[in-house]
Amino acid sequence: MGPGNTAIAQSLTSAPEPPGESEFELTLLGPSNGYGESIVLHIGDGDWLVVDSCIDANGVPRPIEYLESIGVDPGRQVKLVVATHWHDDHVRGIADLLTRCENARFCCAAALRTVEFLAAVQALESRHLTSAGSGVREMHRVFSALREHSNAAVFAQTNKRVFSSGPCEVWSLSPSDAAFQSFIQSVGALIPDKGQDKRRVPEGGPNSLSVVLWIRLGDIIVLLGADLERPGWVEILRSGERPMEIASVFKIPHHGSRNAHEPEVWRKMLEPRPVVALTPWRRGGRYLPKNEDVERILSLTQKAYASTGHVSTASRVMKRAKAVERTMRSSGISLRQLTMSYGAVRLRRNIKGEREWRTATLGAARHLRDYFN
Amino acid sequence: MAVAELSTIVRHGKAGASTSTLDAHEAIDDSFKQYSNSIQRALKGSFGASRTAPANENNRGFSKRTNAGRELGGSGFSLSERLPQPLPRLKPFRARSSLHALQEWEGYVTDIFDDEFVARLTDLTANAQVEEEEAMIPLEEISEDDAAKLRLGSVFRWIIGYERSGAGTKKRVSQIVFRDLPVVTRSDVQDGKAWARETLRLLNP
Repeated sequence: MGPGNTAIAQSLTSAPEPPGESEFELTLLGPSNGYGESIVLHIGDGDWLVVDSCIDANGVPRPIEYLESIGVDPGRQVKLVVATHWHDDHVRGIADLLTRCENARFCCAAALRTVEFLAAVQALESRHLTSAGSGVREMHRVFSALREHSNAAVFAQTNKRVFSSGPCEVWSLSPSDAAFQSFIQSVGALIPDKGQDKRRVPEGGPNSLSVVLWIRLGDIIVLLGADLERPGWVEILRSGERPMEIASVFKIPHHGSRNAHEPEVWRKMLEPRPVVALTPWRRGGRYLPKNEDVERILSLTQKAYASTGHVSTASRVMKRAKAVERTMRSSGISLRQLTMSYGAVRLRRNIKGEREWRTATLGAARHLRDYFN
Repeated sequence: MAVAELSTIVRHGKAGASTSTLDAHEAIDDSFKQYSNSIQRALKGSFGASRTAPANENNRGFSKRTNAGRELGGSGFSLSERLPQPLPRLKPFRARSSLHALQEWEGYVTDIFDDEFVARLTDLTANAQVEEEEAMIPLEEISEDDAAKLRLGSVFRWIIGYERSGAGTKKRVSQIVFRDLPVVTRSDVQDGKAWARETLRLLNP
């Protein structure tokens, strides 16, 4: 466990009170090890949904860690686990999460339920090659677990109700039929050629396969944008069959990037000045959100939060033996620690009779205006 | 056992070998052992078995040979055997270098640029469970052979440590070695398709 993570785990558990039976909660967790996000939602009466997964330095799924910290039994109380797409930053630990959540159904994009995708996953991941995980490995483990327990999964596509329980409805608004077809045409590239080496499957594939979720619980409506990029949002807006009620909470898609911003979404699918939250992302020298992304979001709403602040791209390395550090310096290799700060944005509201969201920033989470501070 | 035999020779101080030489027994070839043995046989033949072979545990090997010699008659060895044989040619002493790792990572490649690549690293020395570091590695840090293996998702080992040469010199080194990964076989592809169809059947009863 990295030294930073111990403090992070303590900071999130410093506010351990669970929501009341009649309280809705949406908590956005992340990032972990440079990237990754997960959302947990309390839909009343002690029932929970989990969307995506990321892990801590010990490989423990963050949503499990959070739920247990507030006294929730994931095995009994989680009813649905959704993988919005199979990119590393959204599914690390999701197989373990699903295994722990024995009462939960699993939901992912229908496009992943194809012989081509599953064959590629099996051919590439049937033998472990490296200690590092990958999105494809997670999906392989998920489908293996589903096979073992003969659990039927729910497959998301445009405008499909994927879950309902009492007054709670969960709809998938994407991926669109066009994205599905495009994926089917391109999935052949995933299938390895005979003789190709079994390297770790790099993160690839389009964000257009992301599952956007629209969730209603009484008067409360939230929109979870996954990593869907602009063309996908245009498809959603065109659809006349989607639920039309507007949301008061928006999980900003794709870490606030410009390519996932569609102004019409803000006009037609969200209340004016909604509560919004995002997780940062960084790989190599690239990071999201950028300064202009933060400014754009703040121009649309002041109720904007990030699960952590921006971490400088300057190297921050773990302490090691002097001989090792000297060699690293002379090698020209620059190293930086991924265990950047971790936090959570928590929104709660009574299911009936309350209009305002109560917001808590846990750990390194903060208001978006303080993102670069 | 060859090493035990040589150790016995040293204890009796008759082969002129030093203990440090024997410590490097892996580098001593059979011809040297044969030469030592021929000297022993010659010495035993000259001075008599009883003077060189007190009956104790340490020289059990000598006693056996002496007894065997008696069975042959006289000293048990012919004159030519008693004289030292010509010095056999020794194979060159191959200096062995060793690497003492101070720090090891396993990494996989996430991005490749014109002059460097980005990789995520798991600290094997610290027994880390997940990737906790990211490295920007100049392409010049890897060998030409490894450069051919550099692709997104390629897996490598990075070791920093001390390399000790056979001559005893010691230097700090940083080594990146890409793994030769198993290749996808025709049966992997066929098994993958069969697994996929079975999975879909189980998930959509």
